[in-house]
Amino acid sequence: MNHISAAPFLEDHAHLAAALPGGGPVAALRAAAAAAFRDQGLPHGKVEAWRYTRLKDLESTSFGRAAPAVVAAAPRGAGLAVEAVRIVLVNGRYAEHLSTPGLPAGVTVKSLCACLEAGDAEVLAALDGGADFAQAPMAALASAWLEDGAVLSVDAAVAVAPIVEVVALAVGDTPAMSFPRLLVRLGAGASLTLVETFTGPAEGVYAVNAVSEMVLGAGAALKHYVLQAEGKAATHVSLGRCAVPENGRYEGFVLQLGGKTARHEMRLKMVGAGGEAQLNGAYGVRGEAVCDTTTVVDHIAPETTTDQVFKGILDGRSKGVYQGRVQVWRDAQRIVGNQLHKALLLSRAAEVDCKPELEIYADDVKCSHGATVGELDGDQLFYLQARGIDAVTARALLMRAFIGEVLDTISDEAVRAAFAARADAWLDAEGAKR
Amino acid sequence: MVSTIETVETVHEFTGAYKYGFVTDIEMDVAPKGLTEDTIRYISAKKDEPEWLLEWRLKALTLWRKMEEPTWAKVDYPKIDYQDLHYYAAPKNRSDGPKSLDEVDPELLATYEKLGIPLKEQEILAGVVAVDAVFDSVSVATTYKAKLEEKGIIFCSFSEAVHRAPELVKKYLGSVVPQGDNYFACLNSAVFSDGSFVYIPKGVRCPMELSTYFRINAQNTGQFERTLIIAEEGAYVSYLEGCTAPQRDENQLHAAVVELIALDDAEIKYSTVQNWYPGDAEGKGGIYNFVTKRGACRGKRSKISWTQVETGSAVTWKYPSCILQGDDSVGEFYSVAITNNAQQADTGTKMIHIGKNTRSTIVSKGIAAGRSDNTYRGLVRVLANAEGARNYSQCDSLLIGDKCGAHTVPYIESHMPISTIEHEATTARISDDQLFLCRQRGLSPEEAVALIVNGFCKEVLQNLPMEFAVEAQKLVGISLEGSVG
Amino acid sequence: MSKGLIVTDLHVSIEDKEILKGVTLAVEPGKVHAIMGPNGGGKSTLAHVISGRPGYTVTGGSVSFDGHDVLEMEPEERAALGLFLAFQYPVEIPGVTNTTFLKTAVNAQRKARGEAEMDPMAFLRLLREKAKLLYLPDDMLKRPLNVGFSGGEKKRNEMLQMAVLAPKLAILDETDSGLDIDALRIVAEGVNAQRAPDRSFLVITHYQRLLDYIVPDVVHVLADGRIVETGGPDLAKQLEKTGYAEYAGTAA
Repeated sequence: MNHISAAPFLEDHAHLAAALPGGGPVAALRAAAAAAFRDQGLPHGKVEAWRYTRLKDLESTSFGRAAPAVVAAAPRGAGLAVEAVRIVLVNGRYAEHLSTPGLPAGVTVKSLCACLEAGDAEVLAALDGGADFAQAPMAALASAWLEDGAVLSVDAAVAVAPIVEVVALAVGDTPAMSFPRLLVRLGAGASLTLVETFTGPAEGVYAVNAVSEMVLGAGAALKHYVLQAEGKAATHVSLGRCAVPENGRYEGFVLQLGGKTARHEMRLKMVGAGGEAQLNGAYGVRGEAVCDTTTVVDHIAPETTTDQVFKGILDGRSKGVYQGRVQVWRDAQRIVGNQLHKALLLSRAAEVDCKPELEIYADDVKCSHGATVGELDGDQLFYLQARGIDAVTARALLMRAFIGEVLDTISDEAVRAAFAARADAWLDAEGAKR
Repeated sequence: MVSTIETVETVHEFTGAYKYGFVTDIEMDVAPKGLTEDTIRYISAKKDEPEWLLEWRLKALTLWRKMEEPTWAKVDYPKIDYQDLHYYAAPKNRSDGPKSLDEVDPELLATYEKLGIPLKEQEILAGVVAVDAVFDSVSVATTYKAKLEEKGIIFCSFSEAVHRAPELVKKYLGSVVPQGDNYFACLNSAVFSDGSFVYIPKGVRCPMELSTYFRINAQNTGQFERTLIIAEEGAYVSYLEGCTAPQRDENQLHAAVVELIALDDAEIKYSTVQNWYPGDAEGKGGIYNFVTKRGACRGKRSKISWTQVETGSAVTWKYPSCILQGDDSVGEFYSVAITNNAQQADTGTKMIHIGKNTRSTIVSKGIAAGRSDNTYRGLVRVLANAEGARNYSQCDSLLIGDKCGAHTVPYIESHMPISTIEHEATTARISDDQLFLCRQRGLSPEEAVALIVNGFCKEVLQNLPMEFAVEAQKLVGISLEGSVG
Repeated sequence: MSKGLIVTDLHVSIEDKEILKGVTLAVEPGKVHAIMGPNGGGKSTLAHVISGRPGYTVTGGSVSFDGHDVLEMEPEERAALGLFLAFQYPVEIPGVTNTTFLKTAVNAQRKARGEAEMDPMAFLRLLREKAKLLYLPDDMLKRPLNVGFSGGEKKRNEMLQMAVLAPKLAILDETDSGLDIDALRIVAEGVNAQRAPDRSFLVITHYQRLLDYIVPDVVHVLADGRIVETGGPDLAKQLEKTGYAEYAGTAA
């Protein structure tokens, strides 16, 4: 298995892409992306970055492009239970009528389609600038079909008070792939709390291939929380990219609870001195599902700090994957980069694969990584039981504590509570089974 | 071992930076360049091997021809022309083999003297170490045979074992590292020249450290030694391997295979000090060291412990591993890898937990200086039946200077909830404060670096047998010469 | 050849900022000089420059010890001459035991002076004897250098190194900082036990407290990079009352 043909995903590309919005430069970008995906094929286990995660459904089932869909109202519970300005994408396309009317001062939202049609060079540059198709085959596929999405901009020095949530909703009843695309631009000194929520039909077979780019001006601060709550039969692949500039702040959290095969990859580039980033997350995976969290942190500029903590709970015959790479470039001195992954295995049939990686070319650095895999602590369990707490409750308590520790790092209180509620609901389904 | 150490120091004073960089001028019996079935028949015939072994080699060649050289390691070297190498080299006039040390070419003995293994002295120095010295491809002299034979221990060259203990060789050869395991192991299986063979019978504790010195002498010869160590139930052996090579401008290939088998309650301790020629400061010359070392803890409560100090070679590609099959078996890997100038090392271990309550410990200390690249690559895999398995890994890197790279690539795969895996890694550098403190107390910058790095490596070095530890500590200092100031 | 430490019109900068602006000082063998002064006045800089710590630029003046121009020498060469610095913040070196460190240092200095290495047993005896005087338990000698030591233990460990290395001039850089009164007394006793006709001390401190125990022959006040006053032990006592406020003006 050295190559899995890209052909089914690019059927009639030249012809169909010609009908997509935007002029020559957009078409060129699509063609380059399609060529890159064709060269690499669908990623598989022989590709180091995809060593542990096979996109099995994509290998076996033919997924067409998800068609535009008209949805009268967003389904209940699609978004996060927080007060927020909502931007809704349905099958990857901007749905203005579902989105919150009226935006805070200094914030603009446009459909990507409109930007492409208008030939917005800045938008195109931002999409193209982040493209590294040779290292991101699935993002190349998404760019090959670049059509729509949301472009969210915050003016310089504007501190956006409300949370902005982008809901990527998948609908339809045939196996199809949608390409939600988000571009977020923060002016210098601006700040924003952004939630990305991915959801779709609870039972239906579908695929989501999302790409989010975040462009920060000097000193900008972004809180970026991702909730992956896809349906049980979904294949979810997403790639987030953010370059953290001089004195920029990035706080990320990825909570993955859904999907049959899910992979979220976050790439951070620390490009300005004094930049700081925290990238944490948690996942719960059970049944036959596979959940992959991959991070790539590049310390390009000196005096940058990153910190990562991920925790996972695995049950059934599931598989959890954490791959984290921290790179420190030559001459990027005075770097701090820490990384930790802890996994809790609840079942003998579950599997966890972990690859925390350090690649360091500068000497004035303090980098570390840690990884642990194990079951619930027997002593703790016994201690609780000895105090009269039954085994099921005790287990649930310890699991909540395990996940809670990392959820507590979410600085936005409303999001923290809402994410904790989602994690609790996932754990409750767990407790009920036992 | 005082005399040995003195010899080593004397040599260092003579030769400067790479103290083993001397060439011995001895007439050699050399196979023509190139690798074909004829080459293998030539080697096999020279060694008077049985038919089955020739077939075994030929099968390996067939497999090897279909394989591709691996590219996943973080090492970069020009393409090797495998048809431009000699696959066999042996000192001439030895068809009968020396019966005693007196018959060994005096120049050869002088070489070993320079290496710090004065055979003659050791024979006098009653039973500390038994040495099987491998000079290029043929084992030259094996000391202490008689004493070991009393206990039923077989310690001889691999070629000799083929005739002395054919059943054991046939049973265990390739049983841990099969012919087609990987590109370099497969090449070794086809053309291996010589190596050591150790057999410790049931319940026997080997009364002395067994030691082999490997040395690559001839030009354009690849060294492909093959070592096989079998510890029967309840047996114990500690084996030391030292490697050096002369200084040459061309790169020399070294692709060894080591297989260890430990049965119930057996313990094998395998220590290596690898000091092959690393090439000059500009990266010219040096050994390509592509080694497959693997131990199988087949028996219950068996234990295999690898300790390595890797300071030499231009390119190192080496992952001494343990397959923990027997319940309650134990695997250990203690490693110091030092790279300086243009050296590249990609080294680590694999711990495969199969049996219940298997335990493994990994302690890796990587030190990168100059323009070198130093990578730890390791795998811990806990399979579904390995209930109660435990692993602890600690990988620390130390960078000296801002032109080198230190990398840590651990793979952790668990299929078993009732198991514990802990992995920690850190990267740091020698602080200016530490250097200044040492200098304020009177140490030169070189002495300061050697002291600090030895402290950094202490957990590993203390696992080495005494006489090796002293040598290793000195090597740490020598390897890092010129890295500061 | 003039004995002892002679600092003449020493000017020192860090990254173009002048810290010492012409310091002149002479410490004869057997004498104890104290250097007091406000924080930021240049006390530690003086200690570091004399011992050769990198990061300072000497822009003028000279430092000689027993007739040697030490500014031209490497830190280890100065150490071999008999210059010892007790660090304000003792450094940790993981994996290197106290004993190994000191043995290596003693032998490096002996080698530099053309002396034979010390007999290991004799060294251990010396080490134990000196440790006992400083109330340092034996197990601390086996522990890695300063790793996991308390603040007081680290300072006492500096005194142990001084006692074993037996320098001709010991510079104590705020050795009293962070010590409680008992630890202070132990440190002072350690210093007093070392006082000898051929050994001098440069005691750097912010507080007069230490000088109650180590009575100096001469007290200097270093403020804004200059020695602004020199006197006897009484000067320290007077400063205890008045503080450094009167020298603040010179800092401006």
